[in-house]
Amino acid sequence: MARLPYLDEDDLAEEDKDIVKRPINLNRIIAHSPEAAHKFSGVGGYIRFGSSLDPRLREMAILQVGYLTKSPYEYSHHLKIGRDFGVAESDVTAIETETAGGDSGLPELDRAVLRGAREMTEGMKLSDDTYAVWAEHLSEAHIVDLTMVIAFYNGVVRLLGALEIDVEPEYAPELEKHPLPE
Amino acid sequence: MARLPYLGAADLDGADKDIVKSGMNLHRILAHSPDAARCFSGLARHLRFDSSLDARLREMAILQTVYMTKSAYAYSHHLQLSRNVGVTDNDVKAIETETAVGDSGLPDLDRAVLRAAREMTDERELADATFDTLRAHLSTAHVIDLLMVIALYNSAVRLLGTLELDVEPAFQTELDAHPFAKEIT
Repeated sequence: MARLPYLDEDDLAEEDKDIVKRPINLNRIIAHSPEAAHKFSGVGGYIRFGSSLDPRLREMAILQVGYLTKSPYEYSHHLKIGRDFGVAESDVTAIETETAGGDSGLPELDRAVLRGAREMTEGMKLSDDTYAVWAEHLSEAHIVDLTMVIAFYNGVVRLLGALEIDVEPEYAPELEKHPLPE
Repeated sequence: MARLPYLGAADLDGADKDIVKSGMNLHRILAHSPDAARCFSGLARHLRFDSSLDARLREMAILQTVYMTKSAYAYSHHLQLSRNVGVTDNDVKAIETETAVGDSGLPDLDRAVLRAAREMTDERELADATFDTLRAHLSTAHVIDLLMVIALYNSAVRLLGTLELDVEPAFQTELDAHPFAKEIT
């Protein structure tokens, strides 16, 4: 069980009920601090719906962060969300391969996005080689957005882990199909 | 030099000029993606200025996070900002001591806040004892705000490091006064 009680609409003031309109467990926990929840969701919402960064690349970066940090909640959710934005089964396998140091055969930019997510997650910065590939393919706005995606999800996995937020039953099958590494 | 050019008000459309009002290098880089800049700053500003979480504890958590990740930019800025909300030189020394696994002699809650920042940064989770101490002293809303601050600064140090933001001269003196310990890994 999570470290704080999950909240529902009935627990919230009228103006805060929208926080749990999408009643995923993350929203039901951060609703304990409604204004923080609104602002936090503002970043998540921009990333998913506001940015014009290629959505498949975005989801690949998010999946790489979740897989590398072994975050069952983040990874299970984005396996499902990723599919809606064009992430294929072979892309998920590619993330496993690249994380293990292999060559997935994905195009150069895809590989550089995954490598960037690994470098930023582990070392808090990006190698010149990786950045050079980003800069060759992406606009300045998209470089900022991709950096923010990877950075933000490094925050998300920590919030999820610290609050021990449970994977909902409807997302659990994702992890059975694509288990996290030991 | 940073990996992208720093933007000024003259580079931005009318409605976006406010993004660089602070003149901080972080905002001058994020301004390449104005809506990204706005939502990121919106969250940071809320946690810093609107949350009723104790401001000194908040800054202690931020300083601990950016000290152990050796983020020159974030550390230099928050050394300065934190003084305005009651973080003393003694507190800064305490963070150095606690990071080196010493006992700073700070009260229980302060030590638990610093430990939470280290655990979340390194392990991405919290020990039961750490959470229990936080929960014994803080409301559920403040627990969320504190953990969100630590999460956000784990994001910020990666953004700063990746885009190689330069410490502004006005903040460099802070780092000269409080250098990172060599042994932080």
